[in-house]
Amino acid sequence: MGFATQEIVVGSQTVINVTMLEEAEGLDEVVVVGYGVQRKRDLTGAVSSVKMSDAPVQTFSTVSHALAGKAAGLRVTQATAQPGAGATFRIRGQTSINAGNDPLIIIDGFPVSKSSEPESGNAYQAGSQDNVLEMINPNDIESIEILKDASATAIYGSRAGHGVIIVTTKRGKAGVPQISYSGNVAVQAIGANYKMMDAAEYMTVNNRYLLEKWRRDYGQGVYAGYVTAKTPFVAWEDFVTNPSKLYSDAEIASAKTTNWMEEITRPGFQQSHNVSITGGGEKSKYLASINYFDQKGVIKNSNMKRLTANFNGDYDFSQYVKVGYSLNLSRNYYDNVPLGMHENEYSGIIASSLRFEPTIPIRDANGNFSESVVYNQTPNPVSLLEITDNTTKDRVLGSGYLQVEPVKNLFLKATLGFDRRSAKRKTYLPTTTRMGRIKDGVAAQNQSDGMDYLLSMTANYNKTIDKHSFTALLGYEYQRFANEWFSAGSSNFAIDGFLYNKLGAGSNDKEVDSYAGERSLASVFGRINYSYAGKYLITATIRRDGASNFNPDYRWGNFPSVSLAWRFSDEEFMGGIKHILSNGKLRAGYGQTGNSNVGNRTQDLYGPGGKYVFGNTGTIGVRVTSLGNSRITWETTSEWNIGLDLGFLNNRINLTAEYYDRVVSDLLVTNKRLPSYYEITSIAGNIGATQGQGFELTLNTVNIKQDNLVWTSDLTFYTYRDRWKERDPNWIPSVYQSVDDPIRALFSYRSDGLLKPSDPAPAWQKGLLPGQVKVQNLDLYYKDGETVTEDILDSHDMVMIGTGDPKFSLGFNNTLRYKNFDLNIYLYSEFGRWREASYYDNMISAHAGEFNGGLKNQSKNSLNSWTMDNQSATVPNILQSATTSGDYYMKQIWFLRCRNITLGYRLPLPGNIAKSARIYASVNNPFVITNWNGLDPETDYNAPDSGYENAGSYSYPNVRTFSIGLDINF
Amino acid sequence: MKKIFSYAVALAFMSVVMYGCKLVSSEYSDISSDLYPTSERDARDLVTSNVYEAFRNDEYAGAFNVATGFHLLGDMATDFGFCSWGESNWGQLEYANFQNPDGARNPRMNWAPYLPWISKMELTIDRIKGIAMDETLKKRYLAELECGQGFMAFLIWDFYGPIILSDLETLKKPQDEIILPRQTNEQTIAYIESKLKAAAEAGVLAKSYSKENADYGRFTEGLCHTLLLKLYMQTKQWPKAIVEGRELMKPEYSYELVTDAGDAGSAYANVFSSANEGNKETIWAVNCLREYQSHLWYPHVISWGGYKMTRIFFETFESGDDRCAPNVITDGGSSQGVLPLKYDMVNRTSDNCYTDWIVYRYADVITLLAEAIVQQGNAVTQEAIDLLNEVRTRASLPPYQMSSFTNKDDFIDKLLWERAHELWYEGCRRQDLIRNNKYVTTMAQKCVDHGRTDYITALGTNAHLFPLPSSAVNEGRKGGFNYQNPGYGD
Repeated sequence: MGFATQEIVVGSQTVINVTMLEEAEGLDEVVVVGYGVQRKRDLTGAVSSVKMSDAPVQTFSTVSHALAGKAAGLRVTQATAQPGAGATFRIRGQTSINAGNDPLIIIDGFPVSKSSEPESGNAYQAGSQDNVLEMINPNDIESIEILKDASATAIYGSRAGHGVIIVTTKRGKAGVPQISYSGNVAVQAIGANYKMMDAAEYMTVNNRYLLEKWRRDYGQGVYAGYVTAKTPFVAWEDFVTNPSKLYSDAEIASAKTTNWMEEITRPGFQQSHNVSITGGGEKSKYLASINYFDQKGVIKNSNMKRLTANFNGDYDFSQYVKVGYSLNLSRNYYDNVPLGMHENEYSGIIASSLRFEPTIPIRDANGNFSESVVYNQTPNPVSLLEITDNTTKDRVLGSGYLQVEPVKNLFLKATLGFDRRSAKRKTYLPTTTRMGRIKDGVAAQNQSDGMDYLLSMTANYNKTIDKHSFTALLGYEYQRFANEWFSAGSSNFAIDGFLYNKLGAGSNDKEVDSYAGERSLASVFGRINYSYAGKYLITATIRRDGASNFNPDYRWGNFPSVSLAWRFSDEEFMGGIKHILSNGKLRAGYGQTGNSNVGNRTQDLYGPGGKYVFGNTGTIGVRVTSLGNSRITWETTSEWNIGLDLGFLNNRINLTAEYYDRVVSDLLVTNKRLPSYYEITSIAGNIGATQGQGFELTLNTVNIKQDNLVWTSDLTFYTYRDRWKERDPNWIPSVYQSVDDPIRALFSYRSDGLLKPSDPAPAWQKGLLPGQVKVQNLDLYYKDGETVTEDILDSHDMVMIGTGDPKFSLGFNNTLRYKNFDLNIYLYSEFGRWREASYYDNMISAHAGEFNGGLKNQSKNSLNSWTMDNQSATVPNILQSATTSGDYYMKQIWFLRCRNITLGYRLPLPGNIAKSARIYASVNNPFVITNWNGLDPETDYNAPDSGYENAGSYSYPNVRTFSIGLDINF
Repeated sequence: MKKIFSYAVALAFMSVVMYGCKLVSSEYSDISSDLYPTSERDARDLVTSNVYEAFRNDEYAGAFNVATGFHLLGDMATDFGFCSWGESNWGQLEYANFQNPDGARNPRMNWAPYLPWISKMELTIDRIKGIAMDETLKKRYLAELECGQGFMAFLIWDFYGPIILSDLETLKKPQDEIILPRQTNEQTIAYIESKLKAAAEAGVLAKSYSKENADYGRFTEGLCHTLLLKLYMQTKQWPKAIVEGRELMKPEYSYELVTDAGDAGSAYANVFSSANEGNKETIWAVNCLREYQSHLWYPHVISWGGYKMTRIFFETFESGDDRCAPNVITDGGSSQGVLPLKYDMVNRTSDNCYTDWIVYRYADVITLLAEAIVQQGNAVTQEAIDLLNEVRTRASLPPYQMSSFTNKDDFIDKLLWERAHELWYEGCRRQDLIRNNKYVTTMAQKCVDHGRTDYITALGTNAHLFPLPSSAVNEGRKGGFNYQNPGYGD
């Protein structure tokens, strides 16, 4: 339910009646665009608007949850389900290679930077944190606009290459003070848990593995003819009894399981309370709101608290002069648990829980944390709960403006603002943990500070003469970004009790480091809107940006745009069908935007190198750390957009369709590869072009509109293709790559089923055993009569399997109102994205292998492994294969998720108690339907593209949230 | 009018404000190449990070680190090497399955990270040449740099064959992105030889350093000659090898075998004891010190239970050999093998050891000399037997007599076993087997002994070199060159 802003001129009235008007949805709705607002009917570019009043935001802990699936062309990816986790926003695909694909996020006119995430100072990672929108209380948001095409974003120039998200917070409204409270409490449960083997299953697989291994080693059964039998022959009985390796049936029957995941998880809990007050008179308006949010995650020790306070005011000094301010204060506090994809000694709590033997109790006979037998580097999962690790982030976003109207309809506005971000992380690994014991306790503190300054001056003029109306904007903007960090740590403490509070007490491995850097950006920009009779609309913008991180000769870039719109439904010849086609507009636009996001890369830089020791003295050397590229310049996005807006039956059915074609040229990368013998083998540079094309559809319908019953639905659909268009002349391809590959192409060998017993191993997979994955030897490459040796499996045999981009995405939002009840159901889905093996397919015996004579724990899928006794299996041989499995586990996945179901009831309270009150119950993520056999199609990491050696998929399990809440306005 | 005036003032004010908005970028934590290097200290620091950093054994960093360093990868790919961390990780090395392009411990892994070091050193020579500083010291730094180039080129050549070399002018223009051919084998050998000779003959390097010397850990003439000896051995230039071996026996180098047991239990164990760091047997060691450099041999063998010596190899020791005594090799009862401790590993904080990591030592030198003498004369000599016996008797084994050997080949066989028992996990075995053309048969036997597929016989002597990574092969293809070593795909 939205309420329109009303400004009531008090004048000579003595009694003011303020009523809440339900928002006039439709064409007169005002949409925020860069440096101003426009009526929806006058838009010429591709802009999606999400009014937060449309969403039951109270149950969302972060803005990103509320946005997922809401706007066609905006892909919101929740990297992990941990409390306070960040999300990635992608507008119209990801066409940059290395310079970031993040949209520019503007909060109340202020382009905000990411706050930094201080390192732990030890080997563990904290997972993900929201670093952009973490200071925003979802309750404070009025609307979020997504500027998609270059004609809409070019006014933001060099930082708008991947679209712009404009967050507008609520401002004070005239009238008697209004106080409102909203609050909710919620419990969370793990949506889907890992299916790992219990103790009995683990023992069973262990026994099967040993038997199969013995058969292989001595060429028994199906393995005869595949291996040279080990000599001298050892009979099975001797093999397993000396020393004893098999679990007996009695042991298996009485096996006690330690369910490590159970030991480290709990029901989650979250609560949120929000109080706001707004009011003021004609000349001064204010708003103050305060929000407290507290979440205890489903993994023990993963907690988050957020406290935000938001103040703003607008004052009219005179008829011509206005001033105002916004101040947004926030503190986010996180308790971190070790997460991340690392394995072995660096295993986080999930990695260790999944791989630790289920047969081992939490503590040994002496009461100490038990150790893994097969791989004792793995930390005891429960011991990791003893780590103290927290992050505190403070952020102050403040700005003030002065607006003057020297002549009628000319508004001069100057804004000064700052965004101060400070974050501090403190960690201590006590001696009860493996890492802590190694060094007798490891403590660290890590602090980072960022400060952005903004100076923005705009002049806005509008004039209407007859049917001609003009708006002109001229502006100047300057921003400076300064960042620094400082870290300190030490180890070897007499007692664990100091935690990180007495670094000086650590007698060893004292480490200290710091950093500082700054850069700046200056811009001039302008925009002209012209409309004739509201039917023919034209918008032209230009922005000229200078970025300090390029050489003076390459520093300035111009980013123009022009867009046209024709409201054909207003033409007289359409008059006859006005009752059917109530709105019709055709739009076309072209624009250019940029990206300079590679840091300072123009100069050769020396930096401290590694340590070495001469005599009895340690020293630190110096070396070239990066090569400068003096010719590096802007990445430029050029984009065409065609849009069609249609409204039928008095706008009960509204349809918006967009098609775009964008080319990103001079692609910026920080890691362009140089020939391998150079001193430094990568350099920042511009490396070619990519192309993205897409289609977006939004359909808003009022399905039922009766006095007591209203049913509305919003459907979004979008699809995009991102490809390479042009490569650097020095690009060094693999043979399986082509110039115009999809950007996120997956290449692999083609698998060819499992080797059948008595079939010979392919010549190119020497040593392949029955039940292991065969791959095809394609030998796609012949050069100048030079034949490729047939029996070698190499990159000539790899092909493109698919892309990691979804084929299309859907969002479907339904709101039903019946008398005082309201019901919201919100679904979204994604189809056709290729993914590599899920944890369930990956963590099986065929991949995990044997460590110190035993197996790490594995997914239950390992029970289905191929063995001589289970030859119909599709899960490969329980023994590890010496060659690749190619695309055997890759699949194209889809999902349909119900994001939210909310049922609300408006309490019929008398007006002298409260103006309005609503209670609701809601469930977030009630179900997901998918062909993905991992935990969750969205929050699961895709292990192989993570870049870590041995990376696994150790994602924080996604959660289901049940909440109840109350909104009340006094 | 007044209004307009005041707006004009405001506009002027704004212009002034805007003028103050300068475009500045600064990275305060890096040093601009305009300002560096200038001083003697800069020269010292550049040498530290462009030479010695390459040869560290610091946790997972450096050419001699015990997880991915050259010697470790080479040792795993010999008859004694084994790791308990799964065949998917280590099987490629353990069973010489070098053809497999995937896998975590891929033999291809060291080409890309170490090749650039030769260029780094070349540019560093150029960068410090112009610095005004003590000329003798500068000459010594330049000699250390040339030794470093020869050393690194030798390591890469040993595993991957011919290297890629560039002249200084090309190195200074990386933006030209020129792809160069690999050198020929002869050119690479000549490069290694010339660099090591230049360093050795500059007359500015110390013959050797004692542990107390503030420069202990830096390269020495002794190291140059040791590397030359190894180069000549691998290229079977026996007369030159003999010259280098005899050079190192000269008293001015003061090398000798450790013969006192100290508190280590045996003289052999005392070579690797923390109390005996910098002993006279050590030719060059990675100098370790808490907070600066520490190696992870202890956890890889003991606390993480990874590295083993195969039982089949362990059983080849003669009884009474100090080099398989429990203080250097512990039998933990694992069917996978025994624990190759070698170091006493008492000087450590839990997993990190601070005992200097010996890279080359005198026992290696004199046994190589013995081999060279016999190969050169094609006959067993008393001098060669004496050299071999020095090492053998130190391990409490009875000395060989002339009558112990039926012929020259028998001597070489016995010498190779002596070296294997003396120098296990010191990066020598792979070279020994290759040099004597026994590598393929030895590894094929290892596969059979362990019930594994024999991949190596298909490769034949091609297996004497590891394959290059596909990134390098692609680069060569782009430049019109076939970079890959014979027998391998990409």
